[in-house]
Amino acid sequence: MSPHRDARTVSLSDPEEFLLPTSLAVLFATVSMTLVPALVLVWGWRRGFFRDLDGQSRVIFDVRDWQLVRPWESTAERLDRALSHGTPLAPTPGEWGGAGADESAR
Amino acid sequence: MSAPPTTIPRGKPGLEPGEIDAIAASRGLAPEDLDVRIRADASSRWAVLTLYGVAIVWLLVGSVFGDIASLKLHWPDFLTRQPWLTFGRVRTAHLHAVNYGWATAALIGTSLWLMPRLVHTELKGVRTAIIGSALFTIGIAVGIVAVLMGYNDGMEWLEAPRYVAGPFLVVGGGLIGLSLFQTVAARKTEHLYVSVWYILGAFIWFPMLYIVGKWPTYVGVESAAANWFFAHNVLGFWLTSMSLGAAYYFIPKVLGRPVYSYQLSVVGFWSLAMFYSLNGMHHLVGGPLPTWMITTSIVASVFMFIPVVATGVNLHMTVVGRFGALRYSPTLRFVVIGALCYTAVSLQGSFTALREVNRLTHFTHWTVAHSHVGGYGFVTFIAFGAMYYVVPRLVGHEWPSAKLIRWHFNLVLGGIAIYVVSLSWAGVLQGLALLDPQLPFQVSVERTLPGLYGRSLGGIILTLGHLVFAYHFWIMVRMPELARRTRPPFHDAQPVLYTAEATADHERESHKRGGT
Repeated sequence: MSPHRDARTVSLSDPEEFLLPTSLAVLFATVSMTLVPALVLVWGWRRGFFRDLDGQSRVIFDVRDWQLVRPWESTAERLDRALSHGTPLAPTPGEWGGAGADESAR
Repeated sequence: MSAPPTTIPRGKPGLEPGEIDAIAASRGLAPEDLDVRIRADASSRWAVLTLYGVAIVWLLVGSVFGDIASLKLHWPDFLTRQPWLTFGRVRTAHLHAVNYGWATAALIGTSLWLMPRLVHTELKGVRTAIIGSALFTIGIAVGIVAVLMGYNDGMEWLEAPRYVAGPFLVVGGGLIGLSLFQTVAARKTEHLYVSVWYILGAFIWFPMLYIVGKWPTYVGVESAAANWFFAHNVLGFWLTSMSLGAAYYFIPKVLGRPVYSYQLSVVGFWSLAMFYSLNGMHHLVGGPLPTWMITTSIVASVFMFIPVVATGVNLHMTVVGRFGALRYSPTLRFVVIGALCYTAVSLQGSFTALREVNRLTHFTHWTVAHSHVGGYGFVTFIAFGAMYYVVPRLVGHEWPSAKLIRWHFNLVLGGIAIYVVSLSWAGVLQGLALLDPQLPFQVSVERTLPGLYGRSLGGIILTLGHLVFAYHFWIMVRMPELARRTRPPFHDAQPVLYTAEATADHERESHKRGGT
């Protein structure tokens, strides 16, 4: 590799001069970004972050989420929800990220 | 029925214990159930609203720059007298405004709102996050002004001068990341939901990418390699990570059902983490780089089928059978389309990386269309969906107008469809003309003209959609009285029917599902 890193002073006649540092800079970063997640995965596995995946999938819900009545659900689905999670609750304004009645009246 | 929304009271950063009890009692809920959610939202409110506001300003600015750049492609004499309005500067300013000013700020805001909810605690280091957001915003503004003035580092996606904008972006982003990591460290739940992995991963990966990309000693072909190492990975590790983290939260949350397969979500995240970093070099197929480097990148691009299929199947199967919900939930409408675009753009990217396909599409408008399926159809749609969900919970009332939401959705969906279809078609025609040695170069340019008109039309429609969204956001946040007055009557939930017919329906569905 040339000691001079100024583009104006580097000879274009020797492509190897460019290819080696190209490979090293990107290669090192790439390998790091591939191996580090692998090591974190192993660490996480040993720490137990992947046990009880079913529990993990439900961590975003609170009791209210299960009980909310969703207007798009069929009667049977609502009954199922009520039997499983108790008294149904009405959604609040903007519950689904929208603007109320007009959204469902389309 | 006019139950108060389960959002935080306006005008204060925190809550007194009695207020939680009062809100919970009015909703008929246990205080501890609401406590976590309300405190989480209260803690992130100012940082999130500030970032959302800044993001929308940059969305408008970036849209105007994008339209100007697009018009110049088929109207070359348009705005040529001022140096700062020339194509090279305006196009770069557009890219920075929409990718860093809009998408990054909107997704950071969403991440700051999500993280406390995901780990069942309040946002830690709120002031750190707000200061970080302010510095990050200054960095974006300084970078774009510098680009418009003609100062440019000369690497795509990294044009903002490293010594002018860089310090603001690095320190600002670092402070926001610090706040998120502090929040996770103080978590009150044993489980880490997959969205937490995505968001934390994004804030670990981005500094690594930025340092490698902005390292000041690259010369010659090194710059191209480092450039595409950054530019491609910033999509996969930064924007994609935060967007998928949001999608994995909002789709199950609105539907009230867990994601289809949590195992697949774990596979999707870790395979993205391990395979994506090799992808960038496929942008340099045919370039002066070692063949093994390009080939490795193409192989890794094909490997991307694993995370893409795992994530795509998972998100789509979560929604299958519940598409009716899209009528009621703008959030779901935007996020589900965003998830579809993620699958589409990723599979398209894997195919485009193949040498035979790349030979046709390289250096054509196809690439621009492809990047807009990702940057807009995927990332921006998810950001819109997230904002429709988050903002009502922060300001305490729902969006004022369903009509404006529909206008916004239809305009941006129509605009991006016109944009992508016309530009993809133009790209294929351009590629075929470029590959034909019998045709002069001029022909390849002329054949793209209809596609370029379509691009400008699509871009202008998108800008109109953004104006509608910005106006709606302004009413929502700054004019609460108007928002409340124009609010439509609260939609009554249909009661659960405990009738013989309903019970029979239930039994039939249970039987179909294999239940007893």
